[in-house]
Amino acid sequence: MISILGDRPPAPLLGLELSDVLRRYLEIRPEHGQPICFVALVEGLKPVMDDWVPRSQLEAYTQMCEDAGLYVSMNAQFRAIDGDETAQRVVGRGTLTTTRAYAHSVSAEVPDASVHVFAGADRVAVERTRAAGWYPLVIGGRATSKPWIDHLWFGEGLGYPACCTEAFAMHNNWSVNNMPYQAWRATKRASMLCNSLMRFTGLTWAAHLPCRYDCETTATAAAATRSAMQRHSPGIAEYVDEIASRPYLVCNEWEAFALNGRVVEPGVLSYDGVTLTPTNHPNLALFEALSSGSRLEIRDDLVLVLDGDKVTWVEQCDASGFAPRIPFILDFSKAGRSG
Amino acid sequence: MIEYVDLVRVLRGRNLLRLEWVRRQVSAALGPDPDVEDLCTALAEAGQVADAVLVDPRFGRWCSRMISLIDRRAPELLPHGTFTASCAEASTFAAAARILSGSSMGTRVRLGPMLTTALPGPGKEIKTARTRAGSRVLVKRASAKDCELRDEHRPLPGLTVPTGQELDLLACEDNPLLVVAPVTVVLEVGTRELGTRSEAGMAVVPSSASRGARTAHVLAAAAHLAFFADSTPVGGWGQLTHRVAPPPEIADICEPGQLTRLLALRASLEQLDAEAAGSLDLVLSKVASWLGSDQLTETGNDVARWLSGAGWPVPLLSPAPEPVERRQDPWLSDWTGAGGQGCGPRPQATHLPPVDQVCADVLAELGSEGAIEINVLGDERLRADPTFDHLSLMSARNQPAFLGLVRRLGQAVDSPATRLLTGHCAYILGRFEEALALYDDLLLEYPHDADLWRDAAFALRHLDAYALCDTWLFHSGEVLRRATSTVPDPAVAVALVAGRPTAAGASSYAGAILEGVRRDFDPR
Repeated sequence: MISILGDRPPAPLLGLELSDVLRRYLEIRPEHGQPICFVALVEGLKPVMDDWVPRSQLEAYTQMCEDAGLYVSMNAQFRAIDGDETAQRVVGRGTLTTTRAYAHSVSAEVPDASVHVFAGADRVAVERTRAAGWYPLVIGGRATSKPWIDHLWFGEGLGYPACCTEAFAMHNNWSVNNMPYQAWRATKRASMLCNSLMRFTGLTWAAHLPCRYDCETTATAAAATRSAMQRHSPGIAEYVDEIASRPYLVCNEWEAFALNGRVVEPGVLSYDGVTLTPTNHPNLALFEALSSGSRLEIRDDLVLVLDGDKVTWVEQCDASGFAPRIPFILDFSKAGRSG
Repeated sequence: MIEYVDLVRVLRGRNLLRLEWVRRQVSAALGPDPDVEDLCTALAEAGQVADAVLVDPRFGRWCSRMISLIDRRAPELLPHGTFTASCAEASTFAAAARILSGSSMGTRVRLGPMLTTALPGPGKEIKTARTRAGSRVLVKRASAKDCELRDEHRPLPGLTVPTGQELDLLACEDNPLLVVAPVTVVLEVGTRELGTRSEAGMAVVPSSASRGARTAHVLAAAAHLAFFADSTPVGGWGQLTHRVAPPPEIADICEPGQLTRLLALRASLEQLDAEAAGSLDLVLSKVASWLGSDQLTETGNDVARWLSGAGWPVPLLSPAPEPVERRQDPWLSDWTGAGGQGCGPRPQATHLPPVDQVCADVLAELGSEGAIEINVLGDERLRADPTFDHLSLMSARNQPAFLGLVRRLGQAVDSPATRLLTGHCAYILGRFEEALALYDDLLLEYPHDADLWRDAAFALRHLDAYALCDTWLFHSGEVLRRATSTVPDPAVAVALVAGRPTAAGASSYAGAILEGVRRDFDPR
């Protein structure tokens, strides 16, 4: 699990009540893990998951999967790119969006790298997903790429609903579009089961970008995962329920904020706490401003942060370039609706 | 023959045309936008007195921004946020036009994010509290409800004087000055004599522009400055000499070939005040360090030597390559020993053209009108051939259209372009062996095409030949070196890797070349 900044980080997961198999997973992957995907996998609710395992833990991970009846296949090693400046020197840097890492072969000895693995009960499904599962990693100063159709097959292999992979095909173009915004436009009443905004923490009921934040297929699958998780770890389930049920301020895939508050009227939110959704390109300045505010108002491209009656921050969100930013509120609370 | 034109009329007409284009595009996409429509009404009612709005650089920039947003399909894809705010910005120009014409009609102006919102043209701005950002205020008869409407006071954008003093518009010299900044701007100043009237102009111009063009830009900018300084209607302007568009906003000095001019400029600044000379010293030092770190594109060493000679050493000048003892490449020896032929540098095809109209029409649909470009990894693009991704998207978004295209391709005359497209379609349909066979066949003729190698590698990946795909990903340079230093020969390639444990997929030309690299570089 990636570190969560803000008013509502989770308790250390290994200190919670956990099933044996989940504890075993978290002992191997205490950070940057995907406990919910793993539970869905062992419960047969998800066909394949991909994961990143430190080399030193690879044997333990493989054994754990075998003991759980899962087949494991390996791809390459990822080593995170350090900082924005390094990323700017890569040829094809425009393709580096939510993943920014160097690739190394599995056999190479690379400190601080993690092995990219694919796991699942069905060997054929795992290998088919692995075949389509190459990431845009950097090798020799250049980003690598795969045929675009492989992205779709990868999503199918991981069990994403067809409607969501279709939405991905329509809208996933960082040069001119914004997927969370398109999903918001299509949403009538946001459901916390479809809230994948915190997906890089591994603590969301849905792991993919949904076609809409009330997608029935996504919600049904997520509900089954949630029931399973309540058996494996009630504490984790409770945390995910809480953080996924907040209203969120969203600007694009890189920038989202979970606020402890309520939507007063469309575009206006009153709150007393904020948690930053972790990504590799967070807006820390806006997060800091929100942390000392109590109210936010969206006025077209502007987000005003207020402390009482005083405006403490005005954030102008530009949609005319790469990774277009459009501010909107997604209200996942029981009383809420998107606005 | 240089053509004389009236710049004011040109700017006015150009921006009116752009505004009308914007109005029609927005209306067609989303219905009439109230702010854009009101702006057109306000300008029409004001008539020529509103020229100050139309020729203000900010109006031109707003038009450019709207056109760019529309070109990016913002009305369809991203109608909220920036697009809404940009349409609303039209209200500032409408209010400005009404102030100039003395109209009694009010305008609901949308306030920007800053403490002041300019009304370009009459030299006015609205001062307001931060809490009003993004909200509306009624401007009527040169006053704004609950806000202060005052004379605008701000420096001309992007044009600052190195001495820090306010520029004396009547004391300009016809010499370029370099602005304190990262190397982005060349500032030109000059004067235009018109009878008894002398107007100073400043312009931001590309450093690569000719002296004549730079002069024309400066003279054209005089019109802008006059509007800033004096809101009375313009008359008796006379005519200007220019053959270029209105002044650009910013110039990037990115070609070291222009450094010779900068060095001459530096020599001419000896007699000017120290601060201007110091600014240029800073710029030249930066350029020297950029050259040394290969951040500037330059193919020769002359400029680096000039810089170093003038006192700005280039820190990491590439040393002359050491003479290398010529040794026989062991792989090449194996290749020729097995009956293959080596080859030296040879002219390489750069495109795969269609040979019939069917294929040509398909290429046009797939963003490759004319021919499919071959990727020789010579620039910053990852991929030169866009057809594969277009076909992939088409298959995901409109399966009937994709299948129709596949049928049409089946009617095309055989050619490299047709075979490549057929290979892509086969891949998308999951027929990886068929795709690999087509890519393999093309690689015999175009072994220098990195895109083809990528596509073949991923076809192999889907045929469980992960090791060979990884070889392409991790050792593409070596693969291309071997493929382009020999005459492609599948029999020789396969023979070289036969008889030993071989990775799956090594029976094709591409597979065999990849297998050979794999064994030599990553045998585990």
